[in-house]
Amino acid sequence: MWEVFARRKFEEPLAHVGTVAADDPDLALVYARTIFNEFTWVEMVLYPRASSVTAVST
Amino acid sequence: MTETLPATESLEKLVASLADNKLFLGRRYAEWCTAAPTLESAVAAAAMAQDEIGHARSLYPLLRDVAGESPETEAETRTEFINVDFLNRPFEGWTDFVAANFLFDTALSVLLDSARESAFRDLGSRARRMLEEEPLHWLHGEGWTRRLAGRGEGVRQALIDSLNRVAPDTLAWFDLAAADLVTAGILKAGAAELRERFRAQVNEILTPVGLPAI
Repeated sequence: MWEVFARRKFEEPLAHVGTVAADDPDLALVYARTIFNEFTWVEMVLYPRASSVTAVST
Repeated sequence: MTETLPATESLEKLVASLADNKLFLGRRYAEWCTAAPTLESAVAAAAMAQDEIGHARSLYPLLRDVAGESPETEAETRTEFINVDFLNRPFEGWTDFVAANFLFDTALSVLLDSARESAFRDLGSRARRMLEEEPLHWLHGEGWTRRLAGRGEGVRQALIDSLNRVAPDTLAWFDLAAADLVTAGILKAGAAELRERFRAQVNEILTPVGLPAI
């Protein structure tokens, strides 16, 4: 699972736009670009959920 | 824009084949918008179908320019399509989709890349625009090829069978890049060179995962 972040303007922070399921980064990239295509983004980045560090959990 | 073009059979065939193959590839992709193995790949199939049909739509006006106005130069009234044979039938399974995506979609891009600076300027501008959308198609095709190659012997063999069905037509399709098109500056490279570029690109993915080279 990959967490997808994007922004529409460079002065805006990256915001979480959703997740995609993929085995590898190439397919994750294709899926993110084709699923979250509602805006013309200036930046989109993906992070594997497995690499996240939990800071707070309740 | 009016251009003076060499009125050759090769040019007419080039434009017609690009348009027809883009249209039929788009149609075949579209059939998997609701049948792909994951929701993500269904969305990707829909996006790629839209791209390919959009590319076809931009190419048919060029066919009208080189072949003259007639029912045969309009996508909606054309009857004598010259697409590759395997696109005449629906894909039998997801491995057929992946093989067409990985091999034939890539072949179209390899040929279009040699038209980037075409003496037929309207073809060059369209080629550059189409190639902006193709990197995602390549990533999808190579990503699924590598994925299926590692999914057990049955899946792997189905993929090999699909690649074997698509490869011959794909390799033969490059004959379209006739020598007179290169001489006229419409394409930068001819059939043999394009075929080798294509082979180098796909074999770089196939060989490391132990799939037969094309």
